[in-house]
Amino acid sequence: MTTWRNLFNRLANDLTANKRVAVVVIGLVLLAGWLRLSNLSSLPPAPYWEEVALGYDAYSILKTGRDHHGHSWPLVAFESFGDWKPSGYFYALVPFIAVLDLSVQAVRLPAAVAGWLSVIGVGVLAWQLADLFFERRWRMGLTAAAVLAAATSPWGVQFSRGGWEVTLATLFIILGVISWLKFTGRQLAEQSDQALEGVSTRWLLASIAFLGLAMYTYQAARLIVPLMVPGLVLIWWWRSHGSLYPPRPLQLGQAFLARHRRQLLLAVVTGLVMTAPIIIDLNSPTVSQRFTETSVLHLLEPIETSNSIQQAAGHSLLSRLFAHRYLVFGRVIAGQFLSHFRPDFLFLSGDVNPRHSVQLFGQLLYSDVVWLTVGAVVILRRRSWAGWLLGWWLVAGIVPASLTRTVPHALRILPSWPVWMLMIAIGMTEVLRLAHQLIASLPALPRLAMPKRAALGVLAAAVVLANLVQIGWWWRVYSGVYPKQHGREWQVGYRQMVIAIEQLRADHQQLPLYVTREQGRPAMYYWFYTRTDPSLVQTAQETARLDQGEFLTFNQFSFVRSMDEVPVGPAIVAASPQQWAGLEQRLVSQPVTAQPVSIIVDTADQPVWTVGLLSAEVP
Amino acid sequence: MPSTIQDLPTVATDWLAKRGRGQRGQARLVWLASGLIILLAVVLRTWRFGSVPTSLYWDEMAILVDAKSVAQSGLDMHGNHWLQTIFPSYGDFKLPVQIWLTALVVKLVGPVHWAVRLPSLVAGLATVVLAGVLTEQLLKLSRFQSRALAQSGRFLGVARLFAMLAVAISPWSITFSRTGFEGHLGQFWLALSVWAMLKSSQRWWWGAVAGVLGALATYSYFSVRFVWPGVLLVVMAVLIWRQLSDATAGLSLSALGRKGTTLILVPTAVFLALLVPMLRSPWYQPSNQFRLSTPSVLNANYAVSSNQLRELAGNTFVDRLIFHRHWLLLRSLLENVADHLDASYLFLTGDDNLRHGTGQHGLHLAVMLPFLLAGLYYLGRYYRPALVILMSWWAWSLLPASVPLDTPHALRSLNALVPTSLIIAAGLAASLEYLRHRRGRCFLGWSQLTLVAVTAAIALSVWQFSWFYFGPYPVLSGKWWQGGYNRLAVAAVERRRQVDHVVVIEFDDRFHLWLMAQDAFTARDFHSWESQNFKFRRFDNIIIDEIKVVDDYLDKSNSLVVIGLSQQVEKMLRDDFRIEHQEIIDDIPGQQPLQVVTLIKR
Repeated sequence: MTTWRNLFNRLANDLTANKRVAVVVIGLVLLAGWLRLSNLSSLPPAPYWEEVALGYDAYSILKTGRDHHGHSWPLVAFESFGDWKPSGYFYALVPFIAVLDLSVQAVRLPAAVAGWLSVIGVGVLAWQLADLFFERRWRMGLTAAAVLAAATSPWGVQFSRGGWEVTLATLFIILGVISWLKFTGRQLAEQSDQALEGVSTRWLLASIAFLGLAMYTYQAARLIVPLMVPGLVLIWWWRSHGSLYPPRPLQLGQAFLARHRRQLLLAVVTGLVMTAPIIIDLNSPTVSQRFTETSVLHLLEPIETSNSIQQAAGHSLLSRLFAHRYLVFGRVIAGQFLSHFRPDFLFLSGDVNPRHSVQLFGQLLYSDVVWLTVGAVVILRRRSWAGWLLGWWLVAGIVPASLTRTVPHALRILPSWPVWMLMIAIGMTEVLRLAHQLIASLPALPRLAMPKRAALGVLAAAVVLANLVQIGWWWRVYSGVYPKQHGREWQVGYRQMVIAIEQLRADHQQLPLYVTREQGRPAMYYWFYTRTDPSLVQTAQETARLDQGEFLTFNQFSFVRSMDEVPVGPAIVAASPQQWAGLEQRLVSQPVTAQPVSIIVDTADQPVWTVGLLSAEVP
Repeated sequence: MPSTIQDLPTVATDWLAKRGRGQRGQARLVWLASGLIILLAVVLRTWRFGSVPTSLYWDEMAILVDAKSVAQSGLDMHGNHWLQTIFPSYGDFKLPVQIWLTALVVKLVGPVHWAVRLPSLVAGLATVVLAGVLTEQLLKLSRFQSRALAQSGRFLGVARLFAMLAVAISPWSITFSRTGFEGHLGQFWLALSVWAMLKSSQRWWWGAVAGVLGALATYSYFSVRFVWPGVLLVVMAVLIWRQLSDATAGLSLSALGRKGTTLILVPTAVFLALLVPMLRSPWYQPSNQFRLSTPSVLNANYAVSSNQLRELAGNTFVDRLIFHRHWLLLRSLLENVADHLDASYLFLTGDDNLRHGTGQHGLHLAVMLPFLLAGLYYLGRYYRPALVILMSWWAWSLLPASVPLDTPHALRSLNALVPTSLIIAAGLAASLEYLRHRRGRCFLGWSQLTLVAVTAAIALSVWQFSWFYFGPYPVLSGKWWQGGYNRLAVAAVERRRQVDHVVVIEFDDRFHLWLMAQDAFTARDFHSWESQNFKFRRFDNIIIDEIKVVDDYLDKSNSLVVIGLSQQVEKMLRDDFRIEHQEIIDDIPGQQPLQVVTLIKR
């Protein structure tokens, strides 16, 4: 903790030395908090099924020490719907649920707080790396630019407002990199001052801890972190020797290993101990299931393409070489990687999944196209280890998503979000720096114009204003249009449906209940909204019918694919209006009638649930 | 001799350097390299020319028929004079230049199918040479010379060679050099016009030449009329800026103003004057209507979606601003532009349409991606005027291609071939210079190894593309090239004299073009036939109609040839007719089987 306190003390000193920048930074941090925390339970309009599953299993852990399937304190992953979610976010939820009870707000708060802290984390990263891109006097400017970019990032806000495990994992990765940079920086200082020896080891352990936690929080992090590690080691080497390829590298390498053997051993052992449970389960569904379900390597299409090309070429030797399925898969993966740099994805419409984007904005702001371009040029020109770090982090953050089927994927590449923000910040700072140079070189400005030094402030204010206008525009879409256009993506209506069912159950306690699975995972929603005692669910596990990890029956509940599965007889029923109409048709010549009791509408005022009774007709 | 494999690149470059020592030696090397690149371009474009792609598709066939008619009679297939600015064709209103050039070829060699592709072949080879010439002109706009690229003369020479190479081996260029698409001709005239624009800073009359070439480009491909003016403005702005910043010119402001006005006005006036005949063509409005009927951002109803969004948001003043229909239209257009900038489309997959690409290769080879980025960086750092022109050229090329909704489109954006190739060339040249600069100072000779690796990667990519294009591609793309249509047409024309009628059950409303392209029919025949909506459905004893007329013709004929989709032809067979001859064409992957059957009454 001392080490972190020292880090923040130094940052605070810099801030107090630049009071105007400090005010802006604090204001932006507060804005970031408001964007991420306000109306959290109603925006997005309802929790989607993963959020509900996270919340209920965390509730189950809090109450019973087991998940709803009865597994005791799972370490690597929770079974959930059979998709084996990493355990980190569940445990992060437990204290929030303990304080706020099981609720949408409680489920979303860890991600919101993590997203907010990530804004500060990006600022700290920018402050750490500033000297490698700009002169010392631009350090606070870059920090402010980074906070501005992160605070007003639609991508960042979208994934801070929901129970997104990836947001927490991204924060851990940011903290891991910050710690690593402190460690490697401390190493340099220790080389000249023996009194500092040992301080860096704490940073090393902190870094390993954070990166390890990321691997327990999000599936893709289990690939991202191992991919980042060689890059981080490379940075250590570079910072120690002042160059990526110094003269006499073999001798230097031996000396490096000898000098740092204790720390290297500690790092390896700590890393292995932390990740041992994951490594042990590598071939079990707890780790590999998700990859199997989403991997592009299990697609048939590339194999069919390879076969058709080879057939068209008469199965010649060259065709077996040039059209080998591995090459076809390689091309597919390369295309998937490149898709994350599509301009429409980044700047215009974002991820096609409406939960990941409002569809009228890209993942970044419109003006970011300029900052990003300039930032990339600056990074290339400086040719420092910081550029390598950012490039490596970017690639490592995108490669795992490139191996999956749905691309481009804003959620899966969120761990690369800090890099995008830093590049944007570097671009903003460079433009202001060039503008400052230009202004300084001009002859005296006309009488009516402001003093030269104020001109830079005006320009900076214009940049801030441009971002604020765009995020304000985005917020208008997000809060006004998005919930109504895309409410169904968030399973709007479940809460009201559960309330309606409970009201009917109060009067008809003996009746069986049938709920369709059209909106997805109705059992979990029921437990979530009624705060069902987890021990009841754990007990029911033994006798319930399951579809992978999803309950199809629970006590007198049956969760059916369609109303065709509902037997003709008295019951409480919840289904979509279309299914309800089908049911009414089916019951035309039956001695049972379907009586709708509640029609639940979504945010666009369209019926989404019909809840009612099947009752025997009175002769 | 090299003592280790690591020494091999050094020894090779030293050998070449000895040969090229001195100005004369260097010039020899440059000519040798240019010759080899042109030879490569020739081989890639002429090998199995006419048979890969496997056959002509409808637009090429229409051009061939009109060219045949013009060559034989001076009139198009509908009897209009050849000197017209818009040819009605089969109702899609074609521009004249491709037809005129094809007519010249037909006049020399007859109405062979490859005649329609020859002008494109020549344009493709000329584009290779033009790319080299343009590179030098563009790079010389910059006065600033980097210390890192100290031997700028060598850099220019190398960039020129790489520009030729980039076009020579580009799948985009190769594919369109071997087909009769007007867009390919258009991009060549446009690039030539840019060359003339750049020369106009030395002699004003080059501006007039640029205007003529711009008009020629516009008379080749419709979209160029939107691209050329934009490119002209940017090129002239850069030239005027160059004049302004050139301290040695010593020109007064008024002289500069006059020069600037001349630079812009002369080509513009010539261009507009030459477009007047097109504007006055009776087919101009119908051609515009035809093109606008394609689903595009211009005919999508943004007012409806704008109103919906405003209502959802609350319909305040701010909402009316941020959800304005013009903003939604602009967004849609930008999304289409973004489709053309997708790196995967540019370097990995290309266009979905197998007439526009192989489907397995990008517009440029995948190995060129890092060089596009390197080119953007180096041009931005050291050759900004060139970058401004090339990027603007690229952007203007994408605009008309982004208006229709089906994007990305390799044909409509073909005007971007030259600027993207030149940027790649700059990247290649800069990378080579960087490696030469680092040679000898580097760790384990990685610069030499990199050079060898990159050269091998490029060579392997060219080999792989060539293998695919001449091997599997003709088989996999048969359906896209109306494979089998010509066989049907040949059978129909061969047998028409032996039967009472030839009935074609309409499976493609352009099939008549394949019939008209046969040697048996001449321009005189075309002019004696009647057309409906520019399509010929009844000529000689050939009838193209719906399936329901077949029975009528079976009733009134003793012998009949029936052509069409195999399943439809099978339905029309009757017991009172025996099959004398039957040919089923079912060997084209993805294409429905076609059939020609000769029926004789029992």
